[in-house]
Amino acid sequence: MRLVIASGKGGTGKTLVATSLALVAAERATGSDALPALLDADVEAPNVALFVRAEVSETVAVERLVPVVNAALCTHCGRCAEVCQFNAIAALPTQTLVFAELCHGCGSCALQCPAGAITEEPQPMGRVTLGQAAGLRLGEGELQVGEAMATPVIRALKHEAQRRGWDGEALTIIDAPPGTACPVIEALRGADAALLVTEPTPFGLHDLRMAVEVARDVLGLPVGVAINRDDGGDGSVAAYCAQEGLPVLLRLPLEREIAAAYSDGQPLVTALPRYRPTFEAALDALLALAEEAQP
Amino acid sequence: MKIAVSSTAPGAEAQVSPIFGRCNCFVVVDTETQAVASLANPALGASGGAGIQSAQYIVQQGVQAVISGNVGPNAMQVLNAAGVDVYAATGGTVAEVVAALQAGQLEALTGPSVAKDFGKGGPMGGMGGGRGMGGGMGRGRGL
Repeated sequence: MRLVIASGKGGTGKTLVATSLALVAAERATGSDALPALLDADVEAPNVALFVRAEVSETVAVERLVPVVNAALCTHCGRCAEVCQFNAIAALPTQTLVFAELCHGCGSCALQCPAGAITEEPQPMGRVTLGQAAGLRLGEGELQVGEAMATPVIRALKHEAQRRGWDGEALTIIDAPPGTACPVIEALRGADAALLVTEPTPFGLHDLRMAVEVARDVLGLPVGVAINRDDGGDGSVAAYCAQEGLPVLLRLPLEREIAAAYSDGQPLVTALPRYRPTFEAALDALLALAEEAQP
Repeated sequence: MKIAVSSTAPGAEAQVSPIFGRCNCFVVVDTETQAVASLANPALGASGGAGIQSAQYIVQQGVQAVISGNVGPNAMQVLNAAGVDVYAATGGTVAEVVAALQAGQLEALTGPSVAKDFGKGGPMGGMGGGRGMGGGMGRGRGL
């Protein structure tokens, strides 16, 4: 079972929710072989490790392929630049320039080069670390500074976890990046349900709508909502959820103690155990939502 | 000599554009024949790499010099590699900046004058970003 914690807006509390859900799941799994996994897929700024300190057992490099032009073979025909959809190649009369930071690694240039002058060579773009802590398997993807594409690192993180059988019977919780673009879609792909974390503000509502469009309407996932810093706001988020038939599975109040624990690097259910039943109920509800939708 | 000017519209009377990669138009002036050709910028709507594509396009026109308000790092690299000279012009019409270049009044650019995505539109982009010109250095001393 794979649950993804996502949001449209950043800073709504994805990691706050994901870490406490995972710790609650870990407590339940005690004694069984299949440890639940928590994957930090917010590869541009992974921060789960600030709350759940893992013993790292493995690091896997993530690479991407970029074209390298053999100047001795290049006939300067310009075909490579013509087929590149990302303008990553400039074909000049006597030189062919590659802008690797714009390359998406599609391989079209190498495939189309009539002179066989282009080869694709791996270039490091990030890493996946795998480890264990507090009854959890922990995975983290990290995009290298200066790299533009998060999606391949997220794909690699999911792949490495899957390859080690973390998925199997056990629960996997994915902490997704914010937004609704490609990295989020990669994090959501293959999920059994998504929990969208929002806040009761007009901005929270605006981005929640976009996240619902992606997770429910485009990807067809069962979707629940978590409202963080729930001081009521203008009530528009709750009204929207009711109107759309989206179940609100978790509400966390706007509380100084929660913020203090978070800024101290403590998972919410560890710092304030009174919230444990709230997260247990949310996990049950999310699992029920996912199971209901199983074929 | 053929000179390409990044411009806001076609024709020799159009204003020089403050941006290169996503300028509306390139006006190519042949100083020997006085011929003026206005070319639409093929990279105007590119999602990325506009500077690279437009610079490649300009190189293909066989120009020896480019005049623009600013030029970004990727376009600069392409123009440098192709041996095209780049000059900065802060304002004026195409005809005026070409005359200024011929009179030796324009500053040659050896490096990019703005950062990547300077002229990129969109929700957060565009030309509002960035730094003030000149620093506060040298002020307030001598007390």
